[in-house]
Amino acid sequence: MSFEEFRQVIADISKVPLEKIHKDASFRDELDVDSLQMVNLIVELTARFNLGSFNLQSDKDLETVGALYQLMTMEES
Amino acid sequence: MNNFYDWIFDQEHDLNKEILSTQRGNFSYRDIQQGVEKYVQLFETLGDIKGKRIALIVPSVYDFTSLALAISKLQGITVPLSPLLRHEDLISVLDFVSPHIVFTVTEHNGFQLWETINQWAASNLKETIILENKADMKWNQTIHIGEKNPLEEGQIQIIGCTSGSTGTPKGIVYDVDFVQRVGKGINIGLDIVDNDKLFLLAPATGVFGLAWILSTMQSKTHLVLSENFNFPEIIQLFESHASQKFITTPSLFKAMDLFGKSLGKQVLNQVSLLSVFGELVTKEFLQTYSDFPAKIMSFLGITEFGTVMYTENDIRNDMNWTLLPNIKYKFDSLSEEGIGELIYQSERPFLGYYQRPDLTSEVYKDGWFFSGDLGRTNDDGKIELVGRKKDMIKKGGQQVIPGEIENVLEKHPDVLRVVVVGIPHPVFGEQIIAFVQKNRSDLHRQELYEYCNLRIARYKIPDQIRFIEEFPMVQGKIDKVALRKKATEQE
Repeated sequence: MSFEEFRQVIADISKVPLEKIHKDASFRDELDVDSLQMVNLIVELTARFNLGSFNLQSDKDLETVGALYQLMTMEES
Repeated sequence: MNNFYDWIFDQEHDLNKEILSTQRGNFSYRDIQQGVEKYVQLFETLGDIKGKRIALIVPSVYDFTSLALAISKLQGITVPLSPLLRHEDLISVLDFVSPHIVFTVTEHNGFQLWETINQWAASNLKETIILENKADMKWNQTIHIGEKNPLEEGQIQIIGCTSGSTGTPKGIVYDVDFVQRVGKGINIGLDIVDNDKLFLLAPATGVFGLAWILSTMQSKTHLVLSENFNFPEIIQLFESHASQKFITTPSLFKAMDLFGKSLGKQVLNQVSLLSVFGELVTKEFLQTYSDFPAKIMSFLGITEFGTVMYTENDIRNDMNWTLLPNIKYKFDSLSEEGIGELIYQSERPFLGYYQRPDLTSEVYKDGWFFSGDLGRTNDDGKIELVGRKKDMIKKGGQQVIPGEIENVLEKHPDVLRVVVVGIPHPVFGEQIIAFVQKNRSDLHRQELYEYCNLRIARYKIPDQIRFIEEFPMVQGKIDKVALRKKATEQE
């Protein structure tokens, strides 16, 4: 999954404009994704990318678009 | 009993018994009483609160509970508001309910709640007191001077606000009876025994969360609940309490499972009973958890009316509903096929929508509450739900229930999930579109048409079957509005 595809999926699920979604964008502060939406987003992403689990180390893995992309793609390879 | 405090504390309790746990700690009956006393003293400095609407945007479950009990004891009205509200929806709810007093945290998830509420109060021209909490639950007071705000009369305990399907807020009025009904549902449906410890994963500081907190406290059942949706924290809380009964929505349960696995923990092994509610339980969910080694059951609650039914059997075997004691039901406008709208009656009346008698009279007639759910009685004499009245498709003079077609198509072995919607048709009024997610790539529409042909009346067979890879989602649920739009655009 390329980062471009990942951005598009986040835009589709969270209804955030695509142009706001970049690697350093904070889900909470810039994209205004609240904690419950974030949970739905992660569940939906793992279903779409067919991931049984991911290797979560800390909350920082869920803070920005880039960190979440890394978390989801590490498990894929 | 006309207030929550007496309902809980007029019976004997071991005051040292821990009854409520969150990430902030474990709280006994004595801790709760002390919390209530602290807020009663605070209210005494603000004057008589009888009949006053007091909005709470308080994520700390302990303070939220203590405040709600203190308000009820002093005959005020609790208006729980979600800390997830943002500028527009927060202002419209405040305009609608016009609280006399607001308790709020300064900010939540980066949004400045106090600032927004303070600006609202300054322009509202009514007397409003705002209590802001920066840290440690010490409250800073701001008083906005203005016109006197009218008081409520009667037995109202809670006003629950929703944004409403049209974006206009709607308030639902509750009394002690509503919470008693929720409690009855918990005790019977979850087969509560002494020293049970329930884990509830759902928004904790809304009407639903409050009803669970108060009713478990009344029945001496230890409730563990999370104050946020931070899953590593939730899993830690869950592990430290070894709760055997777990109550949540299907999507939050999936999240719990996913995060547990991702953290390398088998946390769900301790569960002996899983209760899922609040969302449609899909075939996909039941398939995913077909081997989950605990009973899975469900509740049916109506926002306006409280819990009405529960499932006695494991829902992986059948989804038949049993009515709670003291709830009566019947079917309105029964069709030839025995399907009608479920309407309910309880010993106490529905108190109605806040300041909207017009809306109340639409759903509450002659003591019966019209749920909008369509159902029938099956061969075992149990109630089976088949869909929502508002989703009913009216095609060429016939009424078609999407849920009925979805259930038939989802029984096909190569079909994962189906959503049926109605879109306008120039001749028949509406036509039926079935969106199908398949799990066999060479499955053809014709096979599904034939499958339907053998099982349902011809007028119910979808006019179009469209395959879809992913359903559009909104807030964890399938976005039917987007599906209808998609179907209409493709015409």
